[in-house]
Amino acid sequence: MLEAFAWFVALGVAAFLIAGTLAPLETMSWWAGRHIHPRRWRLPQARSPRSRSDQHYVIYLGGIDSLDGSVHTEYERPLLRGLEHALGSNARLGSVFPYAISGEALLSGPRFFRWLWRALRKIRQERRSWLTSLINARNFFQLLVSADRRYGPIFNEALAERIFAVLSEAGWRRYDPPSRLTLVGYSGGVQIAIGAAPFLARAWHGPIGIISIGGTILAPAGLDYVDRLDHLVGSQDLAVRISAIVSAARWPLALRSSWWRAIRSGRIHRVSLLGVGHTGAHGYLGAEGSNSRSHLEATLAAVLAALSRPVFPRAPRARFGGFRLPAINRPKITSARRARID
Amino acid sequence: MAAPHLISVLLRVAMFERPSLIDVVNAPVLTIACVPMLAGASELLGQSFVLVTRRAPRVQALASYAFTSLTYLVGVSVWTLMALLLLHLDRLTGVSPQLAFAVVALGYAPRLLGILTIAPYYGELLGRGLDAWSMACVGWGFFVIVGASLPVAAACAIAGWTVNHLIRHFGGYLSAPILSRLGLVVPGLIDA
Repeated sequence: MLEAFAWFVALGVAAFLIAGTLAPLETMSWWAGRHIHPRRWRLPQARSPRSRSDQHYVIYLGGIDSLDGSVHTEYERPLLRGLEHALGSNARLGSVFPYAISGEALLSGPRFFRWLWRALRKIRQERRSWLTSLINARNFFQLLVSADRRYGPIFNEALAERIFAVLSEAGWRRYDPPSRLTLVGYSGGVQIAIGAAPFLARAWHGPIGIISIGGTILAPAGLDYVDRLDHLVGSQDLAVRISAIVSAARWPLALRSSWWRAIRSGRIHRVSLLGVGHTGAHGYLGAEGSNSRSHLEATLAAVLAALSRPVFPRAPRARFGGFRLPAINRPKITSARRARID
Repeated sequence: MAAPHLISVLLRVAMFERPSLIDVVNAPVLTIACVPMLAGASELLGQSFVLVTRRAPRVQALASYAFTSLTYLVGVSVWTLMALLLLHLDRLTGVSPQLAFAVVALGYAPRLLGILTIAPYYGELLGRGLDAWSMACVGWGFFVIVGASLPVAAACAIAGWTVNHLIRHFGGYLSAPILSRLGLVVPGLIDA
């Protein structure tokens, strides 16, 4: 019995190490392929401004159980419907699949394992199965890629490009008057939103806000480019607590980190949600609840309240003189990026 | 020594198994020198994003692997010299340079797992862990093989690693223009 358990643990560790080894390959091959087919940042441009200066763009980045940017999970759909209904014509809503550097969804993109993701989606629709955690595992490692000091700049830049593409579909043009951008992230989507913020700030001249629904923030460096972070935290949410413990930049000793800088400048607003967990029926988007209000309704109300608050440009991006990549991958990337942005 | 046998012995050495260390420490120097060289190649595989971000062509990548392996060999030599100096100060003068080299080189056994540092987010931490593990192996090696006292063995491990690290760090500044001209990438040196 003990031997079987030891084998089980050993297999788990081996699977974890193999998955970790394979996780950055997509990012690296994307970067290598970009060299062969060089692309420029496709920032939509127009001769005359098309949108109003008070236009508000809202982009949703799903949790780690996402398979697609347009086909949302059963938990996410009511939230997005509620947002769409409440925002009406005041804001333009779009969504991005944040766990693939190419932006290709797991269900529809040209992927070798597309059959597997489709099969897992079918299983997930029919019954609860531990097999569906493979989706979470796959996306979790992409989240780590985004938070990594080495691969993060490449991954997050590509995601920013995807976000600009969605903004373009929503009607935004580069030389429009500065308008407000809010990234609404759920779970791992928040980390990726924070990672993309420095790259968004290069071309987005209005205030940038992030609404975190149980965000697992591991690398908060991008917060220097975020004007406001509304951090919704459930009292029963272990994932948020674990991410705060794991991330050294959020430890009380790291007073010079972007996280603590954002707290000191009053850009992080924590909203506590009583009795709310991370996922499932008792999670942020779950049907359970108390006082005749489900957790989903409480979360939606908190998100709408955050969206209705004004956001002013307060991030110290100008003071820091632009986002600096780690020394290790600075020279080539910056020159390439500058060329693409120009 | 056959490659599969060597790998299994190295794994046992990394797990602080005394008979395996005693068994392998007298192997030919060339065989033992393979350990740091393979460790270097493994680490560069783990840090292969530097090759990707620089879009190194195949020949340049292979040259980088070879050069990193040689850098590791130089690192082991520096560490050996440092350890011999400390052992000499402790009046352990009978230790041959070949034996000290073998102990340090075998201490690089945990770094054969350097490829795992490719993992996102925790990969760099894993790299630091492998450094510490390697240092512990070297210290334990001097304690078991040479008979150094625990404090001296620990000093050999820490001082040797520190000097090796400093040389790599400052060597990075000095060699950066040459390496850049040759298009060679070496993990550790590139940080500088």
